[in-house]
Amino acid sequence: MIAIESFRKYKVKDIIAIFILVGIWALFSSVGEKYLNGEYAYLFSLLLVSIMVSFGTLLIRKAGAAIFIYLLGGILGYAIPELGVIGLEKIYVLLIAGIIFELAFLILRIELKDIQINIALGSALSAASIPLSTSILLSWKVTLSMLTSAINLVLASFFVGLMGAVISFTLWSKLRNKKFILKFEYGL
Amino acid sequence: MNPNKTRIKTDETVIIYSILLSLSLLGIILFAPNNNLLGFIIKEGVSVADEFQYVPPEDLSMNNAIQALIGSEKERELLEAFNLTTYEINDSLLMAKRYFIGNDLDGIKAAINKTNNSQFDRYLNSLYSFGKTVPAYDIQPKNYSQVFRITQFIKYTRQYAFKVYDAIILADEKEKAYKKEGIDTTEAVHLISEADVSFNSERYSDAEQLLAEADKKLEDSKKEFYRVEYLVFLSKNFIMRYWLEILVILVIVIVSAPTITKKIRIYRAKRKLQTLQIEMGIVNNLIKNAQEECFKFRKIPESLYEVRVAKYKQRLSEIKHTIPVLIGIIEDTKQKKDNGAGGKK
Repeated sequence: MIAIESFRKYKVKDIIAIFILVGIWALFSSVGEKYLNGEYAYLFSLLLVSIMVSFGTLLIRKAGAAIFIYLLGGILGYAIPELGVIGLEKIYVLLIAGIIFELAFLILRIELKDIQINIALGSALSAASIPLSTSILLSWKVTLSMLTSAINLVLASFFVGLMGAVISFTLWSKLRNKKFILKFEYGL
Repeated sequence: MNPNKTRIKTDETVIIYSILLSLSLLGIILFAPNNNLLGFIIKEGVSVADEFQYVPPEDLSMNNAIQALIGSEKERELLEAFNLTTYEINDSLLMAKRYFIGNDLDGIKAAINKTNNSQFDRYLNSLYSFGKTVPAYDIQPKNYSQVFRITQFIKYTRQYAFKVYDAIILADEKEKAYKKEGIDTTEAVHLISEADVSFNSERYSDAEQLLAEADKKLEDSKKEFYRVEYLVFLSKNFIMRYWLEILVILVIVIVSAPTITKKIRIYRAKRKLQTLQIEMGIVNNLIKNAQEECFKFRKIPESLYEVRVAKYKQRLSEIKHTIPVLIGIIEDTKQKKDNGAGGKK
């Protein structure tokens, strides 16, 4: 069942929160890109984006938050190749990832012992979609010729996404009762 | 809520978090791309032998088998002429000879006596000498079919080796050419040298895969290089190339900005006026309600009534102060418009 309650109007504070999360992502990705090798930089950046998107969704709890974060990240990191793609193609890839996350978030309303399965699954699936859509956009012929590598990369990304979601849940459980989060959520 | 229950719930959550984290870590370790972009779970380990297909010849005679063995000797010499290692081919050839001789050295002797072909004679003599040195435990049953299978495999291996040999030379040249252009070829160089090592160890299939990876890396680096170059070009030349469009947009923005700002101001003032008028009505109703509750129904004491009404009146006075300002904003603009229109008339 679709989570109708998630379709709410965005406030300025939501946009500010998104900007802060994307800023953290961009900052740490650039550092990772500088100091880590190709594949490790990719995995690190993917982990970061998964944490930020899951945390952002937990914080804002509105439909479209993930798409906003992914898109803004794509625009700010237009020329950073940390996810293996740059330019307009990066924006398309991240938009697809955002849509996949939103679909999982809105359609699967499953909660298990305080763990929101929809966010975990959304994060994992959207992370897995990144290498897939990147390779298809760049060259599907090359992808087909290296199908095994592509499958491995997709699976690795899936687990990175899942890990990112779990880390964000842990962060959220530590921070959810803090003053600034309560202030943000309820405007106290 | 019972604190014990909360604690149990937290513990369960922690356990699930730990399981999920361990699971994802395991998944990453298993599937994460290593240097050649292949994970550990699904490997592309295909050897030359896996790809080779034996086609049985129509003529399975002894003469044809000798011819095949001599052909394999030539294949080996060809590889040695290029300074390529031939350990596997040597082993295969020895095995083929054992299958040819079997346990029948007398048969070889008879064949030597029978043949008129000097090349066959020489080769059969060498086989006879070799046969005498084969230890009993290494003797294979006489099988010409196996001889043909092995000699075909040797030919296939030689062809494969030369194909990979050419591919390494081509990849090397490509890498040098790309490097000259300023493209980063570090990863490709590493893969090519790994392919070279595999090739020298006669792991031709591995070498071929590594070369394919190297080629992909080179193409990726090239794509990336040109993309970055193009982005730099775009950013450097954007203002120069689009100066006219930028100028036109700037003029339009400057000219239209005051009008748009005014329209937004009036729109916002109207919206606020409407909200305040509604709020004024509500506050008046609240005052009436408070009066009724205090004086008519005696539900609340006078002190509370006074506090409430004071608050309501304070809000009313705020609204009454704000409404004229908003009307002023709306009418001032309207007046200016009318005056402008009158002047034109």
